[in-house]
Amino acid sequence: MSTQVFERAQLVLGDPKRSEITNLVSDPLERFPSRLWFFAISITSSMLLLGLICIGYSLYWGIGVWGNNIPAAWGFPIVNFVFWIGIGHAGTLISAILYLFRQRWRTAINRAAEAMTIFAVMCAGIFPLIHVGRPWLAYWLFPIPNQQGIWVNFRSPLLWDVFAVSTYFTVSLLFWYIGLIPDIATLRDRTSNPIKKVVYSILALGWRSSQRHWKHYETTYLIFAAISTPLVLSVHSIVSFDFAVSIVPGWHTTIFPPYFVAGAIFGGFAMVEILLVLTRKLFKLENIITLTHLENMNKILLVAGMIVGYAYFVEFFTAWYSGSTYEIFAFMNRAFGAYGWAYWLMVFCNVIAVQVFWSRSMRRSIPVMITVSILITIGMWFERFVIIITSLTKDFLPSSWGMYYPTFNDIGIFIGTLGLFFTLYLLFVRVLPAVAISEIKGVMKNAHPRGEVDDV
Amino acid sequence: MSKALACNFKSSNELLRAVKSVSKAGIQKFDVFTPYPLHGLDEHMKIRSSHIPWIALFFGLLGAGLGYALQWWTLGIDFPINIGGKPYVTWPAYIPVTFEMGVLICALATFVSLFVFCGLPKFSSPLETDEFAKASTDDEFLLYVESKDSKFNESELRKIFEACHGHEVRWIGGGTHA
Repeated sequence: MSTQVFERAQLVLGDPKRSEITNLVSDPLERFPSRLWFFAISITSSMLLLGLICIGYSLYWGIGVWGNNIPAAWGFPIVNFVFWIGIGHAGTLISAILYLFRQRWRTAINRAAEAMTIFAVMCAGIFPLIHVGRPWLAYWLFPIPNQQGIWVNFRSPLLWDVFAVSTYFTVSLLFWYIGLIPDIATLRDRTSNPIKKVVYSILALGWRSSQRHWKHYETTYLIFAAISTPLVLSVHSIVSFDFAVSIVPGWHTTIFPPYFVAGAIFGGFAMVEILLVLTRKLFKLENIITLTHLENMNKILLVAGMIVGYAYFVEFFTAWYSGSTYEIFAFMNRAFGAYGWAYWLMVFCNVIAVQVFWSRSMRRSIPVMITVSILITIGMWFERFVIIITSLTKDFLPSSWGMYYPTFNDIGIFIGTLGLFFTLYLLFVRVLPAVAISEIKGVMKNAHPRGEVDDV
Repeated sequence: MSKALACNFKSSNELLRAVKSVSKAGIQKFDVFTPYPLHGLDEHMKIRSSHIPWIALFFGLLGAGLGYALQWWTLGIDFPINIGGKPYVTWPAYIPVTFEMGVLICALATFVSLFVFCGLPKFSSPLETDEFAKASTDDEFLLYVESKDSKFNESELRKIFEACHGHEVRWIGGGTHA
């Protein structure tokens, strides 16, 4: 029997010194922004401005300016809400689930992915807030004692959503901040700018990287990873309950929670990949975020894409197997009805396009992965559109059947959240390290004393 | 403020050797500052595992309990509403919020306890004015031995530092340099 020896993959290429890593990652924070950065942020902040104007217009006139109608009372706002929440989930997958599975390559990408999570959840939060029509009364969603003595209805999945999304945002933010503390301390010790020094000193909370503190730090990090893992699965399951707990044909299925979670990870990974490919190129981080990292992400995309494709198939199978005329109609309508084009676009983007990743050279080609990631992002948006719109426009009473057409306002608000997301990301890469400096140093060659376990 | 003899090391192997020697000399009041969590030092530095997991467990259960109690009391006792003829206390429907409350309180408690255990936030440190200490958040390892330790012996320590290829041996804090 022959033995095959696997060389452990080098996570950081080029064998740099530790101080070179610090310099490389902090360099973008210490330079004046490039023209390209100003060009990018001028576009994204204009998109944000358009969104703000459209939100202001909707608040002034009421949500009648949207394309929502009866029975399609959930239009763009809920499609976009589910889309953005899903994007956020990839960040938690990378920071928590891959951490628990000891996937050490995550250290290069977790910071940017966690930042993306927070920004995506912020974008998602806007939609239910404005969809309630009177956002200044949004605190009614929380169980606050009031003069009527009445409480919120804890039996409603929409209320579960309130708790799930606000918990998710809080926990993600704390997790991100804990990860940032050692790096902010590094920046504090580097900077010569007095204003930055004060800001970083406050944010680092006096972290001095004592070995006795690292012990508590690593324990805390592990606990956060351990509680974030079930949390992220619960959040998108609860989002799917918004649909699955109702009795609308096409929504009332038990496959929704895993199907939504897989879709969320799929769509989110595609977005992480778009951001990382650009970040590593612009900030010359190719030796830290290597092609191997991107290839690993493409493998996850391939797996998630096939889980999503399987879910599409099983939905049809279950509809047929149930023998229920209404259920079968709902799915025939989904694939061959008025919105059939959206369905097949979704299948093409999410199931077919991702199959190129079976080939190693495709997995390692930047143009291919960018194209596929953009297609997946589009496909996952259309998945939510298909689920929500096809089921609602043809629901119970044929006399109410119709079509749903988004208005300029709907599209403007969606563009606005894209603008918010990318603006926040562009600001993030300028003020905080886009790669976890301290974690990278821990996975480099010779990081730990000889004979010690160099595992996380 | 107590004085301390400090030394920088460039390699983790040499740091580990120095830590072993310092520990063997019976010194207890010393610390190591490293740019990333270094493994293999805990035993020699007598660092025991953190108590944070117990706090996380306690507050997680407390949060979940309070979350369930909130739903049970508001919808079952304080203002029962008949929704579709369902019972007032429908425990399966309360599970999602119970879980989320458990996670939320657990996360907040863990976050706070990290800083309590580390004695942070703390905005003054003897390391602040030391120019070589900055390397301990960048690329070097800093060994820091407090002079108030009963086994403190400067010449012995200097020998250990030299044997392990330490550099920049100096006094930190205290004002007067011995």
